[in-house]
Amino acid sequence: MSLLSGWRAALRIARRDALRSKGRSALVVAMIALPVLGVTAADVTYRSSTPSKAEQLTAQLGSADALFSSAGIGPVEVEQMPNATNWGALDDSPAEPYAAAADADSAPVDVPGTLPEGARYITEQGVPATVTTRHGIITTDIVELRTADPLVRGKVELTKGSYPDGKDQVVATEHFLKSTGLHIGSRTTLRGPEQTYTITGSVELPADLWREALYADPGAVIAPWQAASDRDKKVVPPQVGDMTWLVEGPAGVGVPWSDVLTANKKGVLVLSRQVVLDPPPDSEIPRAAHAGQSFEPIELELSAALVTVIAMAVLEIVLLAGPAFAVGARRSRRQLGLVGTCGGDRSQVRAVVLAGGVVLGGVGATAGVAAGIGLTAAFRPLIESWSGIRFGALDIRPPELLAIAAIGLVTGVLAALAPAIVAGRQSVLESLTGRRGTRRSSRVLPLLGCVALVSGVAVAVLGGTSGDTAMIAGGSVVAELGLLACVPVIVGFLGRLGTRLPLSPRMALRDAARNRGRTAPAVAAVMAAVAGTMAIATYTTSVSAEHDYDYIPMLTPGTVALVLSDASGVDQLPLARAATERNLAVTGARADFGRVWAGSDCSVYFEKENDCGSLDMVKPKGESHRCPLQGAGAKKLAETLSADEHKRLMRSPACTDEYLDMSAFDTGSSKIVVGGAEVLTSYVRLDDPAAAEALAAGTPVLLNSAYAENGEVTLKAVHRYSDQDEKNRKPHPGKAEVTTDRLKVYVAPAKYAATPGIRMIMPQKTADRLGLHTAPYGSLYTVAHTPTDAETQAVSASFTQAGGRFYLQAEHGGAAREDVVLLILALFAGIVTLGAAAITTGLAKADAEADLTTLSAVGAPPRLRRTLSGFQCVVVALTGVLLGTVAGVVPAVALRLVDLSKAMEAMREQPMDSAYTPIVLPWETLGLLAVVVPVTAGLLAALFAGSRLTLTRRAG
Amino acid sequence: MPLSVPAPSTGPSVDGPVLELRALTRTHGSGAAEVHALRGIDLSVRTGELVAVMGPSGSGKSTLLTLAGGLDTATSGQVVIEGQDLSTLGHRGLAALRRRSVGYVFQDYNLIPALTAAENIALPRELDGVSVRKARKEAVAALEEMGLADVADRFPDEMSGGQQQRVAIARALVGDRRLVLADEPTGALDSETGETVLALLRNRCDQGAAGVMVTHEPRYAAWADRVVFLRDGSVVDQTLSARAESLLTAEGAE
Repeated sequence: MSLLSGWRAALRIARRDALRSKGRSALVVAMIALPVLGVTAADVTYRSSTPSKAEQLTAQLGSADALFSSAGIGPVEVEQMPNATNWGALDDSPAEPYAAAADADSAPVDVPGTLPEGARYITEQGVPATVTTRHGIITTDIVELRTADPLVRGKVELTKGSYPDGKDQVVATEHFLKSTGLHIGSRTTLRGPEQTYTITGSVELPADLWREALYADPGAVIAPWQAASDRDKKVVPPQVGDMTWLVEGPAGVGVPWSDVLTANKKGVLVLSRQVVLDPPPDSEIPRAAHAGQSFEPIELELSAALVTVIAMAVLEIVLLAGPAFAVGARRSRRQLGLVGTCGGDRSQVRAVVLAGGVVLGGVGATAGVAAGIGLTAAFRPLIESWSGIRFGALDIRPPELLAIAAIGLVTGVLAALAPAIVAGRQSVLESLTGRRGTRRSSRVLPLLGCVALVSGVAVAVLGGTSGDTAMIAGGSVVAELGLLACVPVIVGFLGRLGTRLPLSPRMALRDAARNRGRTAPAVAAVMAAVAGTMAIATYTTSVSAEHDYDYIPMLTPGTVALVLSDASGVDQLPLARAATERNLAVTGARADFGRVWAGSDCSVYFEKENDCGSLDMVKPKGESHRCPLQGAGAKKLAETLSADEHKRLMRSPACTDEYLDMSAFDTGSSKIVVGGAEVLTSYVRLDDPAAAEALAAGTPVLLNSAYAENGEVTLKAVHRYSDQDEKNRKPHPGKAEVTTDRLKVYVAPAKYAATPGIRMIMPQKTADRLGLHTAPYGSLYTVAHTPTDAETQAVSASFTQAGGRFYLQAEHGGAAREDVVLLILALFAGIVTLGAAAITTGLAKADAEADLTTLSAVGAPPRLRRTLSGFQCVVVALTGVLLGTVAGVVPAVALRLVDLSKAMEAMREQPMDSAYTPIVLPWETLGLLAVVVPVTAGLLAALFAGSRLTLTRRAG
Repeated sequence: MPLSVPAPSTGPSVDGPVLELRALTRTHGSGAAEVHALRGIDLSVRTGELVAVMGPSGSGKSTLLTLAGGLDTATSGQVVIEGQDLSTLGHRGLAALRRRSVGYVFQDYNLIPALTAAENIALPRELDGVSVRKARKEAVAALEEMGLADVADRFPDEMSGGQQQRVAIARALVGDRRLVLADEPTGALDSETGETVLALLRNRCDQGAAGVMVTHEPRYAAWADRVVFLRDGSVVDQTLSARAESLLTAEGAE
């Protein structure tokens, strides 16, 4: 008997069966096709958006053969690698060129002189500039490059309008137009020289779609600006960038390696297309020979994580599609019995079910790949603008897509495997009569499952503590499989819980427990989907909680600061405040704050050494005022600290003071601001009437308690005056006076030590009393939202009108949260859970038809069918969700433990590094999955169950 | 050429019975739940013979048929088909037996819905490793002989009940098989169609097959050579078919 002949018949039956039960087939195909689609789309997108070497070169060179630029260290010989990014001066260490770069201006390099004979070139040079927009003004780059030149093609492309022609025309990138509210035909004025340009077209950089810049022809911007600056000293001269040369070599020759070496002799670097694409051997690269470096690209490691993801994905699809095949096998049980009576042996019966896997897996895989490519192609513009890179061409790699499709096919076969084995084992008689074979469930399997579960968790946790991701991956998979094996036992246990419940839930629980063979795969499917979602959700939620914690804001979140950038602008401050209030979504009161200093103002008299005063808050001596993680003994202490103890120490005012050194405004090293109660309420958010009263009474409010000793702080002021400071020098002749004052302060609770930019708020009258100088410095506002592009541009324009000596700082917050990703994941798991629950309910209904008929016969109301179906669905969904949560949290926790051990290691090396590695459960996702989904599943099942009685024909 | 059903004179064991049941017993459950489905049945069916099995519900008719085809295992006693003791065969052996020696016909759902009439008939041969082309040729020949050539490519749900049942009989006897076990083959058919199906079954047996048929209907039993009456798992009477009707009237009275 040939194996093939049995399979041929099996495939035929499977194919026809798939067509006969279209709904179920579509479900299975969808389950297999969706992940295949996702992976295909990801693969095509990744391959297309990862620029090839040639595409990278086009982004830099356009259609030119090479890019020549000065190395910036004068006309001295340099050595470069073929890619021109790794280079160094001859006989010099690679670090030195940066030091030498300062002298670049003194010794100009003649780049055009190094171009090969017969070469044509164009130049590119950028300059930062402030230009007018529809909303106000913006600072952007203006690039002088002849964009109409064929050499630029591929680097900058016109999307609308026309290239600039003449000295008063520019083109703008699409993002520039979007952010400024300008359009083709608009005029924009370059502030300073007041040159006005018409925007004739929009362009895009295929390799950088997000770029905001203006492009003008050479000579249109920089030269007239320089001329204007020369004429009028009030016009700030342009701060031009380095010029580069796009070069087209002599026809048919290009720019070979020999030309590169020649140019190197004059201090010129060359990025040549043909050299990069076909690099010379190391023996011809002097730098490779010299520095002992090789021009080898770094191979990416195939991470264990990727393998885990693939393994888990296959496992989960198998678990998801499995029940569908189980339903199929059960529905066509009689058909399989007939195959048996025709002399089909077990392997042939198995083949019929497995063939279903082959057929549906094949269709699913093919459809998935096709849809993946199709959708990527269809949504290409969207994906391009999202990734910021124009795809050269859709990069479709058949071997990769074939592998993806093969995994899909294998998944289908694997999913059909368990149902096939079960179907093969079923006796022909049972199949024919439709009798529910009372098969005793295996006792060994759950035992093995428990062992696998425990050892898998142990391995994962061990991997977590030892930092081995492979162990985590392996352990998690083993644990999940173990839990799967235990599902029948757990379901059986559930059956005993129902004794006191009303009829419908009791029957649902009993039914689920008595028919473990069908309940278990569905529970497993739900569990698989939920486990994956919970693993990712738990991990990402934890990581983003860590990022939120580690993020050090420049301002109190939700506030903006208007700050004086030049002390001479103090008279225009009211104008700037009015502009801010007019243009931003300011809510609540303004809080003005000022600077305080001793002696001459260091922000004015900084040119000579020791020409201004100083004002310092003296930190009291003693351990309680010092951050133990800093300085002597810190490493030794770090060795003994747990993560929690370290976190507590890091949060202490003394340590906060050490790392909280960045702020939107700079009021000197002592971080004392002059202000009133408004600063407390709108910026510090300290709502203690005592604090406000203290300020009113002339008592400073100290935000960092580490500086307080017995409720007092020590201020040391050096009243040193500059001879230039005519106004103040007169009353303070002679040597600098040093005063030390002990001030009674209101000490804010420890958490206020983290207030960005302010250590102490001093009332004006206290400063006056201590003989200190003060001046208004700016204002703090609470805003409804962070300023938009338009708002920022409008404020900038108003500031410029008011003299331009201000800046506005907004707090944009930490990294973007992954809420959308989590939501999509939860939805995916929710849909899978609904699907799996629906499959089981359908299966249960098919099985229980006889019981339902009996129930109806003894007078059960029709709605019982509905409630029973609903509860059957809820049992499956809820059990699966709860088990899945457990199974998903294990790997996430293990991975976090790895993160923790890495962070601890880093902390022991650098005691001031945060080792905070929280494990945060994604409660929203969990709530959605554990409550909303099962309830929805139950309601849907009840709704679609139908209360109609169908009489079944008894067979056998 | 007559299809693969061999003529009586060329059969392997012309004189020996095709099916022989010896002291066959089948007990379900144990202890208080013990049910004796069959108690020591002896029966032999020869080539060319069609035996009808009758009896009230629960008398063991269907059990007898499933044991005879090796779908179920006897508690004691022997089932011998063409000289082969079924108790000596494993799963594979029994499957092979069903492919090569025994054919089944059931009351309903006889045909595999996913296969056409010709494919259904060809299935046992295909499962036996015969090439698709040859198996199909045999199937089409069998259909032609029964005057059903036009349904060859129809699916079961596109055929009438009688057509389905006749195709099922053809499938039961395709290849070298000589024993057909029919469980109420006419149960789902109207009387006229039922007669056609019985005529076919009779005809097959006359051509050299052997048949055992479970039925409730005395007038179908009349097609058989012999009628075996079962009650509570034992044979209570064996008679020639002519007497069946009168006997059944007596049985039916209780």
